[in-house]
Amino acid sequence: MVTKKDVIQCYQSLLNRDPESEATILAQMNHQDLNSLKREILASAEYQYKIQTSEGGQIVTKTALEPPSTPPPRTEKHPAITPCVSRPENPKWLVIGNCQTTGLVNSLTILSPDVDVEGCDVWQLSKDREYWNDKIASYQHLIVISDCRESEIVDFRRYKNITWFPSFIFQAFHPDMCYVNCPDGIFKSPMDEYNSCLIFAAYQSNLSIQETSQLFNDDVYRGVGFYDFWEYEKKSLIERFDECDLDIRASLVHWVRSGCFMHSMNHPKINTVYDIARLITQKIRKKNAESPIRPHDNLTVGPIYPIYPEIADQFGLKDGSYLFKPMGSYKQMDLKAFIEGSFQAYQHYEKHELTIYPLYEKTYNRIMTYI
Amino acid sequence: MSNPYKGLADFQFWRRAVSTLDYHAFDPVVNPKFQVSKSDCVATAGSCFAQHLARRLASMGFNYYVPESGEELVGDERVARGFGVFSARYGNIYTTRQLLQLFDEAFSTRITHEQAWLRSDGRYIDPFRPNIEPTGFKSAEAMNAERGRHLKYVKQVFLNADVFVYTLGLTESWMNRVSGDVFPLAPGVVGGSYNEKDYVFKNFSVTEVSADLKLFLQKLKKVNHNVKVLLTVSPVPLIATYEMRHVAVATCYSKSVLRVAAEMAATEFDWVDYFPSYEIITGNFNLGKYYADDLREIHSNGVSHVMRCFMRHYAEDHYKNITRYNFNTKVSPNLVSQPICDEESIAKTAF
Repeated sequence: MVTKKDVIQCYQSLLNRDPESEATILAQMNHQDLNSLKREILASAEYQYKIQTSEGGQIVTKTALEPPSTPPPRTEKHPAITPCVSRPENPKWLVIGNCQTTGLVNSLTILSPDVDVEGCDVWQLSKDREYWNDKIASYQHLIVISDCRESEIVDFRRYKNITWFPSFIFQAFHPDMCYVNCPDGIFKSPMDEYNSCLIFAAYQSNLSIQETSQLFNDDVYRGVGFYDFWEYEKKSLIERFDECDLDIRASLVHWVRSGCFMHSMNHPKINTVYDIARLITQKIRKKNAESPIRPHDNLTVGPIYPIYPEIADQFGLKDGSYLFKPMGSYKQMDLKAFIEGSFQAYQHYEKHELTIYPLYEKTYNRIMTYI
Repeated sequence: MSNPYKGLADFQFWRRAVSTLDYHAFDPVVNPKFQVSKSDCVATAGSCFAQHLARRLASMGFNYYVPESGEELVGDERVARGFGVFSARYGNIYTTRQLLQLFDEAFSTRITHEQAWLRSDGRYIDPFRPNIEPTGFKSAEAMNAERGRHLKYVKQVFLNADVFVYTLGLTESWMNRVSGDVFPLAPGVVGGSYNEKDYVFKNFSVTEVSADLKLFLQKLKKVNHNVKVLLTVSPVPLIATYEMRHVAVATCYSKSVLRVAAEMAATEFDWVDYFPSYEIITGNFNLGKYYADDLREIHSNGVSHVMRCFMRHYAEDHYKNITRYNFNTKVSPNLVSQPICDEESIAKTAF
């Protein structure tokens, strides 16, 4: 059994940093025991890199955890290869973002190998506000999600060296997704914070599980307007990036041609994140190091919401599905399991305690009228 | 400075109509000549691709006209024996010569001479629809009797259809040297026996395809004054060519001829329209996404794109304004199924 504390301590002790996100922590908690987790970290490219580049071959640890029981074998560096290491003179950038922070940091690192890019998600920022308020001034450039413009945690008006980027939200592939409020905050379904608007509306309308599953068809999607999201979502996305002086129009054409570029309504796939990073790099430096390499897609650890086959069909896509991938696991649920799991979870509260998140009211009301 | 291109519509410019467009929004249909109402009798014929269109039209609630439906048969047998695949049980009508020949035979203005082909298992098949009866016929007489019944239904299709959808499929064909009868498959592939004395390969020219199509349309209009015709060209590449050239080159020739013939017919007759499903499936805007893994069969997402454009331009009022869901609504069945194609027999037997 690996606890959250174990994961954080292992990261701090072996990698000299915190896990990049809650999703990472949850994923790592799936290890059978602590040794299994350590083995994975010791075998990671990051650890290998850090141990080779740190002083004396040891990473300076923050806490005095036990040293690794089986040190990884040291590999001889090829004399012809000069490793691209962090140099004191390298400029340092900090990315402050949401779930896309890791993807952006890794992408920016590929695009600007002579810059040291670090990340801090908005949750870390609010948790350690004093630490970050002190540290932010040491970065040459800040790349900050525009939701933080009016942040009370950091007064970003003090800094001129900021490139803003917006939250990436695009719901046309997943028009059924929504958040639901409950007395404890955002309600968690079997898909973590993601809920199905159809399932929630059906639950609130006292439909049975069988009746609810019947709602997932072309007639209903057409009736409740699921096929009508595209133009509005596209326009909104372009406008949000325009507000940050980032023109995604040409990129968007490529994303659409590549198929579904979203894991869910607010989790873009890594190629999309990379293209955003490219726009950011271009804006800051007027250049980038083109590479065929793309970083790993860390957001696949999180929940992946399927594009319903009828909706995929509208967009010429082949990969429609009713399989729901939950947070931190690759065991997918079928539609029936998702409906049953959602209904069970809703039952922990009184019906009146569950309310649709305001952003999704329009869709929810349309469904309630339709069914 | 005057410029004749100034002020033209967006669809006339590649950049505006293709390059910068989301690929699922690509829509090459401009100024359709007529509308298809829910009450119109819609009949279909043609190549394998026409089967996709036929199935979708039926599932979308159009009045898909199938006089030879085999409704007394159970589901699997009905499909296996080619009932309901098209409006009548004529199998694939790949060439315009074959279409013209069928019309003439149905209206007794020309007699086909080819006799039943003997199969290696001792059963007989119909040379003009060789895969229609999987178990074959016990005798040539039985085949002829069944063909006689079939032709009555064919006649009904031509007489009663309000809209006749025909997909031009091939230019390559096999012909009886003496009678001029043409076949969807070469003799010897699934039945009969090939010999150079009786049979000859024929790759129709654009002049021949166009003339056959024009003649068919004129004859059809003569027996059915109200008919409207929607022509499409099959985007499915040739499974094989008998020409001594690369199959891709042969495909390009064949589709080009069919496309020109369709254009000429649509230009000449105001009741004939060309529907650009070929352009939707083959267009580079979709990066080949509408083909299956063999890069020949059409994936259902491509058919869906075709049907979206069709519905938008030819049946705009089709989706009635439903304000409340009926839980007793029958959900449309899965539309992904393989078409039955005579041409497939060539690849299966050519080893």
